[in-house]
Amino acid sequence: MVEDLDKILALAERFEYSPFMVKQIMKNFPQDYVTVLKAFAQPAPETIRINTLKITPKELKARLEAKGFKLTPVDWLDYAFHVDSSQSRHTLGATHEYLKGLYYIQSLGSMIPVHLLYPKPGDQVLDMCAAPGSKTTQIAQYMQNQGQIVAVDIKHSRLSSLISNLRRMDVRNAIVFAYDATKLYIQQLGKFRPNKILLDAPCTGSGIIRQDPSVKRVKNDSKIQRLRQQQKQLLKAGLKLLTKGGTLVYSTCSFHYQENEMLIAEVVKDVKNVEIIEPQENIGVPGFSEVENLEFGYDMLKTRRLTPHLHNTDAFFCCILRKN
Amino acid sequence: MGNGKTANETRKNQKASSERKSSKEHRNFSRKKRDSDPIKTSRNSKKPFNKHHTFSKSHSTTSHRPHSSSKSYSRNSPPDRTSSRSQTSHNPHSSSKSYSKTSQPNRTSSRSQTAHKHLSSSKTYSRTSRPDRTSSRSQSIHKPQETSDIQTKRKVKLSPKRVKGLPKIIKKTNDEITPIFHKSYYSKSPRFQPGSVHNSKVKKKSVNKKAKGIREPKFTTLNTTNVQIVHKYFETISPTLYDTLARSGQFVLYQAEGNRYEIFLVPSEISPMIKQLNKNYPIMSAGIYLGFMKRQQTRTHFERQFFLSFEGGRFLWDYVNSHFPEIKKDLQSVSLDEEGEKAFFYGRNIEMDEVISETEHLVKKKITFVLDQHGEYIGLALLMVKQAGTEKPVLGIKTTDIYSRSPHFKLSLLNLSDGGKYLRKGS
Repeated sequence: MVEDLDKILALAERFEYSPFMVKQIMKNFPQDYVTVLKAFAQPAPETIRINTLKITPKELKARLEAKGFKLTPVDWLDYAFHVDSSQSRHTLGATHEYLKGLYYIQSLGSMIPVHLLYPKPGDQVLDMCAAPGSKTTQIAQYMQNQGQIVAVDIKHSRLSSLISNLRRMDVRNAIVFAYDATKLYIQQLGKFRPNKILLDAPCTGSGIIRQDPSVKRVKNDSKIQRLRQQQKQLLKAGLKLLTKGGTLVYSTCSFHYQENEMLIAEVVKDVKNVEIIEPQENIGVPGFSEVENLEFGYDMLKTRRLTPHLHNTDAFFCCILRKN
Repeated sequence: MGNGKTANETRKNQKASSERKSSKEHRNFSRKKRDSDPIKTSRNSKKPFNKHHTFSKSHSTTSHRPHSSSKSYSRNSPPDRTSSRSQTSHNPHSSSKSYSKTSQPNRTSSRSQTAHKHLSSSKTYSRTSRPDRTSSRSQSIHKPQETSDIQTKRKVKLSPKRVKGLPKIIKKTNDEITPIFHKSYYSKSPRFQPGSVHNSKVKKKSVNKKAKGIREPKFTTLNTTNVQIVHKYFETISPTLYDTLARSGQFVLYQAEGNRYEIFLVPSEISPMIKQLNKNYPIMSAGIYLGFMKRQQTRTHFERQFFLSFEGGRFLWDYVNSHFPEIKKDLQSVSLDEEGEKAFFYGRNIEMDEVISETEHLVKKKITFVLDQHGEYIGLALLMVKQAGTEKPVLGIKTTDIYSRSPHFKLSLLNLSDGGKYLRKGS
């Protein structure tokens, strides 16, 4: 125990983390926590998602390369590119192409949930925590502006960025309002019967340490516990709203098992007629079936995790649930 | 002298006995009369009872209730003073409701108890034998006698205050009375769940939303005045544009009345859904953001004007190009070179030197679609004439384009909206 404590304190000092966060990383990645800490210390690669509603990936690639950007395609997403902007005099977030809504700057990890949800034209999709709109615009892209998207977010102030992004990316089939998604009722939604729901739940953001280094300094699990309640409420509400046979994708940008596998296991146990579906594509690594002395069941191996040291992305968790 | 009583004393005794007798008779008479004809007695009882202090007091309490009537005085039920003043004062509009709670004499209320202290014998009489003035007629018929425990239970049940404007009691049974807005009623209905919009009917603390700059948006179909304004505006772009769009039946115009008056073009397949969602949720945005309305000051008065947004312009340009190429000739457009594009994205006005397309056909003060060198839409502009030299334009001649192209004047494109706003706004 004393050795462990020394190790934690040494790592905390070396990587400028709080001992609590180091302990959490050690819990979640018992084999390769040092590699994870090192990966989190590296700068996040720039990734863009091309708006196929307006331009083809090939065409945009040519245009951006003419401006000095180096684009490397992502293997499993044909509309996503890693961008090296070191040689360009332009900023990726201020090019004319960006302002025209031809692409969206989005981390690779956050593109996964919508890809797993795979909405089709004509679907009715509910985005429960929509702001700032990266995933909502991606949903519209998959749906080719056909069908209906209802984008909801509880914070009124965050909706302006959502609306701005929807307008920039030329999304035409989205309905936006500020509301608590846990208080949505199917009777009040009229003809809108969501067959696909995306729940990118509010989380501690421990997976995006590279973007927000303040997470390194978290001292206790009070935020985790508080957010767990919210996440559980949202997930249960989402499953209630989902039509039979519909799918819900739950995702967080957190590596804490409390917000991911543990929560899913609890909800699946509580809610009837819900099962976890394994993604068809080979994305990420399976989730944890057990952590320390806690067992979540083998179903959790159907969930997916992205980690910075293996996939060079932010730490992300995704799970597909189907209502039977 | 023999029995030791004075004449005065005997007279006093006689008087007292006669008074007692008369009062007994009066009581018996009134009882008989009431038994024989209760309706009459209850109606007629108003007169003598009005004289009594207690009744006048209780009457004065009832007089505070505008809707209380003589109906509330029951014929058959025993006397009752339970409805204290405080109780009735809680329910100013429903005297019958308050009375219905009690049909038995109950002297627990402090007010009535204190009032008794000042009562004379006649008051005592009225307390014991007078018909119940407080319990309602219907209540007294259903439940002539109840224990005080039940009364208190009923009091608890009916404790929610009647708020002005709420519906009346809809259901009356022997056991319970369920108001429509009873907790048990709305807890079953999802419409009235806490947090839902409908629950906001319950009085809330007033918030000065104006001061906070928040205004709940109203998302409705465009009213006729605004339709005319938009129609007029579209005519300046192309005379047939509005009609062509309307004939296609693919879109419905909506307005969002929030902090700004925004106009949306909603695909008709989403429109019915919006109408339903709009009943319960405060929709802020849907479909394509076409533009906004603004009150503009003219020389004589204020008038509402429509302003086409960047997104609206983009939609119109793309839509006309893809669906109605025959209208395209009506749309005024210019293409800019790289420098011009850059300057335009920075929000600057454009000089004609930076325009690479032909300019001869351009008409001034007409909405112009600005395109980049790839032919992609980048914003909206207005063709304006600027004075280049000292010579001022002659009134009347200035309106012709030929004069505008003279060396004394130069054309420029006034930036109305461009894609750079996403960067400048910061969100």
